[in-house]
Amino acid sequence: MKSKIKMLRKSNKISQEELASAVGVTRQTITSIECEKYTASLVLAYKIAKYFSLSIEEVFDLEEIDEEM
Amino acid sequence: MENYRVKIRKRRNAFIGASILLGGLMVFWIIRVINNIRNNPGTIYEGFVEGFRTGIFFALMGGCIINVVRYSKALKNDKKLRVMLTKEKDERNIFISSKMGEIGFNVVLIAVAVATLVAGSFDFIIFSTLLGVLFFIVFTKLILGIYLEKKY
Repeated sequence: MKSKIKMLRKSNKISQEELASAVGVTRQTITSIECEKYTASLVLAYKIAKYFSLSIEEVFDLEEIDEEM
Repeated sequence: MENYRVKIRKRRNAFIGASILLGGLMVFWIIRVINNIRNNPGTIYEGFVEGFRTGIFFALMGGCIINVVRYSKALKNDKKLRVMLTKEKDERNIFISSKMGEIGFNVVLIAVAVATLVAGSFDFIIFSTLLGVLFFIVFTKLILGIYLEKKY
């Protein structure tokens, strides 16, 4: 699933390690999400969106899911 | 975090208990092996089986000591404890673990390992076959783990 996490991180000058620590996952998980290899769970997606003070839809691209449906 | 600290403390104590037990067993085992070699040199493959069992003892003992040290360090340092907690609860790690069927793998691994140790007392061909199976399971688990880590 596509996301804007990398862009949001860079614009806020936050490292992967900092984001990972803030949302309670490892840095590798953040890397995998940014590389679109791993799809975050609803809880993790919510935590990441909350960290950036945005909604889940603003952080993650849900168009792919809509297309599948 | 406090609950996790209590959990780690219990694990550390369990490993300390296991280390003491294994240490006692090892002393008894090594004396037995030395006596066997002196009194009854036997064939080369009997020495291999005894050596394998002794090696397993040392490996288990080493594993227990490493875990005791690791958990003791984590209990003294909040940052290390948090890193340990994050690694354990990380959803991607849990996902990969469940995808791999890690619990099933571990159960089979332990069962085959015990069977290998027991078979050594009866027949070398069965022992060596089970040893081959054991290595195959370990190798498969390793390759699967690496593949899933790369994929996800």
